[in-house]
Amino acid sequence: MENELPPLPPEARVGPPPLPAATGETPVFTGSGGEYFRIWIVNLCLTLVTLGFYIPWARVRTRRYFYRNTILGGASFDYLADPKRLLVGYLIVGALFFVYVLGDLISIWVTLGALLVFFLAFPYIRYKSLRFFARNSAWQNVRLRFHGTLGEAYRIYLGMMLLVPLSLGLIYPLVAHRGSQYLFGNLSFGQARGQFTAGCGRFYAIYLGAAGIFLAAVGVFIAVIAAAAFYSFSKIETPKTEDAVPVEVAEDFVSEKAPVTDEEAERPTAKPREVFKDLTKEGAEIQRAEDDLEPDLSPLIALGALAFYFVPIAVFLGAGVLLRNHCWNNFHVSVPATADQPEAEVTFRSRMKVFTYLGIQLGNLLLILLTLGIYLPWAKVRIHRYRLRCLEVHGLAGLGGVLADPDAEQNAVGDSASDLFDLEFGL
Amino acid sequence: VREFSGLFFDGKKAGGQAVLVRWDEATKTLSLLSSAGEVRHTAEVDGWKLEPALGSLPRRILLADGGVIEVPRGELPAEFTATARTDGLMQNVRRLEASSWGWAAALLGAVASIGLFYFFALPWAARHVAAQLPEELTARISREVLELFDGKMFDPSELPPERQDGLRDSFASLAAIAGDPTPYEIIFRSSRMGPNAFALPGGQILLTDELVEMTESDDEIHLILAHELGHIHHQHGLRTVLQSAGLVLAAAFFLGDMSSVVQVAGAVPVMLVESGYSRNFEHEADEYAARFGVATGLGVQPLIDFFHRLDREYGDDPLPWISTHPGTRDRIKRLQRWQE
Repeated sequence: MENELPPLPPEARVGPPPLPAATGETPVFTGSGGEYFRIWIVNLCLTLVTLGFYIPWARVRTRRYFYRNTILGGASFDYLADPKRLLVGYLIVGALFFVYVLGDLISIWVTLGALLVFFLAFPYIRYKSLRFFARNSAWQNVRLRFHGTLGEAYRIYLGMMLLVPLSLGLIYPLVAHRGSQYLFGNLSFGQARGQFTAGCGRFYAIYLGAAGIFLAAVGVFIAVIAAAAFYSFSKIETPKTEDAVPVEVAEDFVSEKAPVTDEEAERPTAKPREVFKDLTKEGAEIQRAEDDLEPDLSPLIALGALAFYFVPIAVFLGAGVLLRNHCWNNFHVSVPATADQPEAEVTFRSRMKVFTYLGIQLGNLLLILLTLGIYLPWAKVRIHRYRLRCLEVHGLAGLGGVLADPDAEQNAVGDSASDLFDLEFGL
Repeated sequence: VREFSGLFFDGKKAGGQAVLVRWDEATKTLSLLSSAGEVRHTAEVDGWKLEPALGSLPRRILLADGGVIEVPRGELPAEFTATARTDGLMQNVRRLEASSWGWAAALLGAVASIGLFYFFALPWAARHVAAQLPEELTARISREVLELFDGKMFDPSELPPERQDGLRDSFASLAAIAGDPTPYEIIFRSSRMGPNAFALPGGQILLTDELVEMTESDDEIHLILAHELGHIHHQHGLRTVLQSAGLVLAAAFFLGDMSSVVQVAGAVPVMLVESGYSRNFEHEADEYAARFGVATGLGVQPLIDFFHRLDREYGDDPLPWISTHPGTRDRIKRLQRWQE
């Protein structure tokens, strides 16, 4: 009757790398889009009616719905945050954001000041977010814990971040690696400590690949624009040739640009004046033809702009998928030996596919736009399901008797900050 | 005394234990019994509460010491759920979620709130805040904007000073006839972006040489200036800034919960609704110019002529829904209605 199921960290995703233990467990989601829709719409209405003050309650209810419907090894996760704590954080961050947005009106210095405050506070907010998130996430009623220090957060998110522009962005993958290490390497489930073993080589490979694809897309876009510009430019130039180009050249021009009829070909010795007249006529026709052509270009440019808009998003999401796989595949949890259990290790394997993921996101996006947002709850469930489906936990039984970690304080500033500014945990 | 079975997670160690929960209706005390029948845990009346239902998930009883009892749906006696201490707010929220009327009302409420916010609350707030902002502030904003553009997009005007002053004087006397006391100042610049005219919140109307060249009569210029004066009169510049800020805040609030892809994609709808405001302002300024034309005897025709030329040279807007300006043809139609 005592231990039923073994435990594991929150929000499971999976992927064990080095030692594939027995068989893997894949977390499942037992909720549904329709059920979440009711929760979502009530949340939305209450949030709007209360001018946003309901957000913390909505947030907790949503998270709880997703966590509690996420089942790993027969047991669910739980989100235990107290909305009232979140509210304080929301108000602080909301005020900062308010100053940032409305600062424009007063002076650019107010906006810059708000940005500076946010920049300086970011490591603190990140640190607090992670603590809050871990403290309030539980599996089998045993909470996670985050062991990272504030100093480390400042070293990574302020110190190293400042070096990014100086290094022309070259150390950014390293900063991202340290950020993941800060998160994964400092998590524990009760007394079972997480270990992050990923190197930063793959981070460089992924970021460089993403940058390459992005630059190639920019190149194609510029080429399209240049071609279009050249096209309209040549159109504008055409009529000018009427008066500026000497007759001989004009003749060449005619034979080159416009189909020369037999009749015309037969009188190459015609007086310059006549040629001129013809040219004017032909020129006008060319002009008209090109006018007709022109509308065909704007869809092309629109398409290019659309691609320009979506390519960075796709690259960003794709890189996120690869990084996420890499992190989970190089993360394991060491379970210390206890009276009734030997030492154990839990590993993960994440097998998300970039194109499958992009396909789901694109489908979601289209359906959300088509339904004016009503599809959002289903979209969220779909993407959550996919993430879970790609995760596998090995050696889950090892978490069986893990002891909780007796501990302390929570602070909401972090969680809400992560919310408004969408700091993702990458879990 | 009632009994039901559940799964107990003590919060001290991973793993759940199957337990039998004995509920004493009189004292509201819970006792947890192991399958062997021994009492493992007791919670007095104020030592536990029932978590409001969520979706179709098992119910949870939260113990004050951090323990949790998970009870499959339908296992709890009705008397228990009816009398247990619980979170009142979430209990009511749950009622809304569970009833078809509840969530349908929520849907209606959400749509109505969004409509109210977009069509009334935000424009109303922006109008009032704009009217309250000190002039010194708007003057500074305008100065900063002008400094930002000068040298990047604009060069000094090449129109002779006499021509500039002539236009200023003629427009001033027309404005006096129209009787609008809105203060303004006309600034001439040469633009690298072609014909353009715009108004700054501080009352500056910027007119490019290219636009002046494009007109065929001074009356056209006067009505274009009147259009810009309309923007200043209605404080459109400030209101635009305020409304955009409001939309950004609102979008951040309500999309904050969504994944990043939805957030990025959210920029498109924000752009769309923002341009809706902007098109409205253009119509308002056109209307102002039309009234100005009628009041001063210039009529509306010169502006219509100008728009026709604009239409011929630049075409109607191919994507009127996204554009910040209404399609030229639409504007002409509205002006013609004014003419009648």
